[in-house]
Amino acid sequence: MNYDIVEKLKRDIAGFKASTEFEAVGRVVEASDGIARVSGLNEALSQELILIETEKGDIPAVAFNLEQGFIGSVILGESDGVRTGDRVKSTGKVLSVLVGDQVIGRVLSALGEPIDGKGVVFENPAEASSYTFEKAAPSVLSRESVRTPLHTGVKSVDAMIPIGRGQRELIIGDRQTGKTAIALDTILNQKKESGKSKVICIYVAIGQKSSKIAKIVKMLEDNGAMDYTIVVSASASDPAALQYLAPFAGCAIGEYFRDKGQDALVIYDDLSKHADAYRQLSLLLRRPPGREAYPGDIFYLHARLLERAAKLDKAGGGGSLTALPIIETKLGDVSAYVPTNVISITDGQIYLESSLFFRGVRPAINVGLSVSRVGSAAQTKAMKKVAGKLRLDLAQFRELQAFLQFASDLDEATKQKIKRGELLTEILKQVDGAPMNFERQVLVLYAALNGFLDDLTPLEVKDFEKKFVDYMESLHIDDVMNPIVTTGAIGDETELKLKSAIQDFKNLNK
Amino acid sequence: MRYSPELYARSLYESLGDLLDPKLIIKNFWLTVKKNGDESRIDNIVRLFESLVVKNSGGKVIQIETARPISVSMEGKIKKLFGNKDIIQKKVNSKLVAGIRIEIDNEKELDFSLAAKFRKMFSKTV
Repeated sequence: MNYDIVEKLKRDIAGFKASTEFEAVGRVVEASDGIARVSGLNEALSQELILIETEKGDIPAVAFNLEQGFIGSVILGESDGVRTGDRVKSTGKVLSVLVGDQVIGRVLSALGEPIDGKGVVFENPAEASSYTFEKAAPSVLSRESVRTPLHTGVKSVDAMIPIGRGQRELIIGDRQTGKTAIALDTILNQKKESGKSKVICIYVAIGQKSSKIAKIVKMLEDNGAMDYTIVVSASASDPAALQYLAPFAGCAIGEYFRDKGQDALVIYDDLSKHADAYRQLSLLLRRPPGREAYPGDIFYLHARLLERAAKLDKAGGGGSLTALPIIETKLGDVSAYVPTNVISITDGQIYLESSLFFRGVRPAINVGLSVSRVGSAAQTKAMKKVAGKLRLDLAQFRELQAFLQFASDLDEATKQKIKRGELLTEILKQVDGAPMNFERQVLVLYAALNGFLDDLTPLEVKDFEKKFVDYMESLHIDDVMNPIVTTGAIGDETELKLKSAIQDFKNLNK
Repeated sequence: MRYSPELYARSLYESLGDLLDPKLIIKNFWLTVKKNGDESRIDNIVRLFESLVVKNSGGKVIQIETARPISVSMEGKIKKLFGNKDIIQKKVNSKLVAGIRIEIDNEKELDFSLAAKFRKMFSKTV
């Protein structure tokens, strides 16, 4: 028996003082499908946490609809025990999550409770800060423009669709096109980032299979990424209310780190399922349905969530919250209601295409349709210098691709452009779970875009890349790689050294 | 459509205010409730009707819950605490363990039960 706990309980009992005051009370008049209509509680707040006293114990619910005489509330958790006539009490608290540095490395439910079997998050809850689920986004004056890069480790993203800290970049595509893989690579890559403050990552799983979430957590653990990551999980088996709340919990956790002056990244995987969960709740709460049966405030739902991602100014601590929402499209239809909403809210999108995926171009990013509206300001000079030509070369290649079947009739210049395009497509291919440091990306892309790979066939590219990076890391770490990392640019002297290093490597491998 | 107990209570209250034969109205009301298959909800309807009558006459509905039946002398003492227009409903609820819970107009309550004290203590220590 643990005598410390017994002693603590004895002290608590001895010092317990119960004062009885008037409390507001209501009754459940209707309960079904996770929704309870409550009479009384005339002074309840919107989003207030209320407690339903059932035979199975107190069940929390959130006041959603404040109507004349009734409250439409959403039951958080199992609604089986709730019956009409059950007493309901208000708590005076709006929904919030306890946050502190201790949440790092934990898997939490949408209400911030640990679900990883590692015990309580806070031994002393007084040490934790309480962050409300719903909070106004930082004002215009307290924001700064995005200017620090957030490297994803994915070559095509870092080179052509750069993301900055504080940005909101949508990852959109059909099912099984590698959306989650890009988000997870971004988390993994934060471990390798050198020279900048470490980014705290929050992965919010909404409506996913529990097995998939378990796999993701295992992968993050195996790669040592849980040291700076928090997983918020509301799986497909959780009630719609928890799936609706999960992104807000993730955002609140991210805001804690942002307000502390740190950089945080939050991934919402995915907001399509979040919109579906909200639609379900709204219909059950008898809110009027709009387009595709979504409620009228579906745009505001995502806008207010994503607006909370921001880069704060120095007075606000200088922290940032970057958001990577994910949207799953059906048959590539980006003009559906929720995708268009989120596209317009975010600062750009990474568009993944099934056809590219099946052709073996992985990550299957359509660079023509993908865009980053603010990230270029955050791109490092080295990457800007290297990748400036990349978009153009690939665009020209895509235009000329149609002529590939008549390859024998083409002039030399066109043939050269097509070959360069093929090599670049090959160099941008990357496997899952293997993000690449930005300095390595710079080296590889520099070699490819300056014609050093032109004598290779596409099949030889991957082998070249691996050997070249190994060569540079073993022989040119001080004279080429470190200056790129520390200055973030390729100076004239470094460029000369890089060129000669590439030439030496090629001579060695002849 | 299934009618809520509140709607039944309000319609009964308003019908009785129309100066028609009260006996006939109550009989017809019961037949309507039966026809709609809502007999099981009659206790709730009556409770709400009672509340409406008391509220509209300027009184309060006081519900007193105790763990065991209260004595006549205790009941007298409690009645003295409230006005003539107020109505007192008694209820025995063994889940209170001991003590008393007073609910006013189904909106506010004073909970002096031991169960509530246990609950508060538990939520403070854990």
